[in-house]
Amino acid sequence: MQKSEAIGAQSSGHAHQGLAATVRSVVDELELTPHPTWDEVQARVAARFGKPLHVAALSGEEWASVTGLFLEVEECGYIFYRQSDSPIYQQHSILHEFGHILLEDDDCRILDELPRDLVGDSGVSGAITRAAARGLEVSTTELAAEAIGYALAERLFGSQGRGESVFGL
Amino acid sequence: MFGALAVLVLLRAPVAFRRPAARPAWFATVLGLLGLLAIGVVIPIPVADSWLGGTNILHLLRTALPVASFWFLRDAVALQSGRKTSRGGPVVLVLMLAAQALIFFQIPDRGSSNIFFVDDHMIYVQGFVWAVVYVGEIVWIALTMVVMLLPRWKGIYAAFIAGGLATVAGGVALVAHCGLILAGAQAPRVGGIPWTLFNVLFYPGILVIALGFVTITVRDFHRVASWKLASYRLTRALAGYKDQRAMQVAAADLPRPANPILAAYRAAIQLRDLESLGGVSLTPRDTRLLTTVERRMTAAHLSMARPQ
Repeated sequence: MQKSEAIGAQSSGHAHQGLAATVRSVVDELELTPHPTWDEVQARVAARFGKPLHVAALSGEEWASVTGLFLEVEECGYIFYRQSDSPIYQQHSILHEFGHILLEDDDCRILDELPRDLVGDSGVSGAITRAAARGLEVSTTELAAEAIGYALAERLFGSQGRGESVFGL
Repeated sequence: MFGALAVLVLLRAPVAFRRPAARPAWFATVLGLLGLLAIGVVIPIPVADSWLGGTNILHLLRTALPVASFWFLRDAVALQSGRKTSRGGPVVLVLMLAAQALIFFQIPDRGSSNIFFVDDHMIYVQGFVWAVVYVGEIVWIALTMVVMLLPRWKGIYAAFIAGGLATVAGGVALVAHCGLILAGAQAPRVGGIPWTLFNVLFYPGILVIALGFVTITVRDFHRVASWKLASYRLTRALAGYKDQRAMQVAAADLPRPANPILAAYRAAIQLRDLESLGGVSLTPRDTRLLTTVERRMTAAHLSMARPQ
């Protein structure tokens, strides 16, 4: 059972607590430094993934219902985001896919729903063994990946995100 | 300065109560405030000392309070800078203060309230040791703070480093001054080069550190207030689209973060979700607001987080 599915199996009252605990545990396991850079976060996620992780922007009109996409093949993993999005939104889409990787999510069914051209234009070669995407779908899996995306964003904000609690109001 | 610190203590009391990370800076301010009371800037020393029995115990507070305040200030700076210092736990602070008290009460002939108590009692070994312990503690805290901040020496941390170094140098000068009195090479209540150096370096050094403290505080007040405003405006804009299907996008159900920067970030992402995934056309006003906030986030944070 995937980590996020285990949260969904709980009653709704416990689900929120379960989600918060899972997010904290998954992010803590990365053992990030107090001021992690983007490179550090990506490297730690790749280390947990166990394969090289390539992150790239894709252009095109095929993205209507997806803002980020994770694909795994035998040798490596790919995360794609939309070239046309704002940098903050691009970053968040990638962080969300990091969440899927850390939660060991797998939803290859989305490959049937994605436009053929999108996967075809990505340059990914080889059989796709695992996939996840950020879109309109609402599920425990997506909620957990999104929560990890926000938790990682908080870590990336570093002192900017924490400073107000030290000296400010 | 006393009034400003008092206002700061009152304003930040609720924050310190709620957030553990806010406590070191708050404790530093409270102890600094009490330290100012003990040096006679608000209440004359003889009057304040008479409340403590009129046996110069106020002079012990004049050394204990700055050490404790400085200790917590260093903790706050460590939290702010993301640096760690191997300074031990609160037990170390308690031991430091206990050492001061233990030696202070060994000083003979404390007498009645006397503003020249320190100088007059440097003729005793116990008085000299008390001064050395006090200065040693301040110097140790200042040095560990300087070492901690050296890798991040730019910007406001330069003030803490410069102030810390001046304090260390001033502390050494004070020990030299007290040593001369103890050795009988100089009469009490008389200046001299070490005394002049102490006055030029020690308190100005602490003042520079205090100014750095105030600068960070004011800067953070402003920054947090502006992020709270951005979060409020984005959340209000988001509420205008509450009937849209895309409000169901992934994280709409997650608890709202208390941190205003994260709250603004969350609202910005959700607005983009509405637009990108829900096919909702944002109003020109909301688009301008979103673009402005995103640009600010990018300038402030994304420079270190830009995707490859």
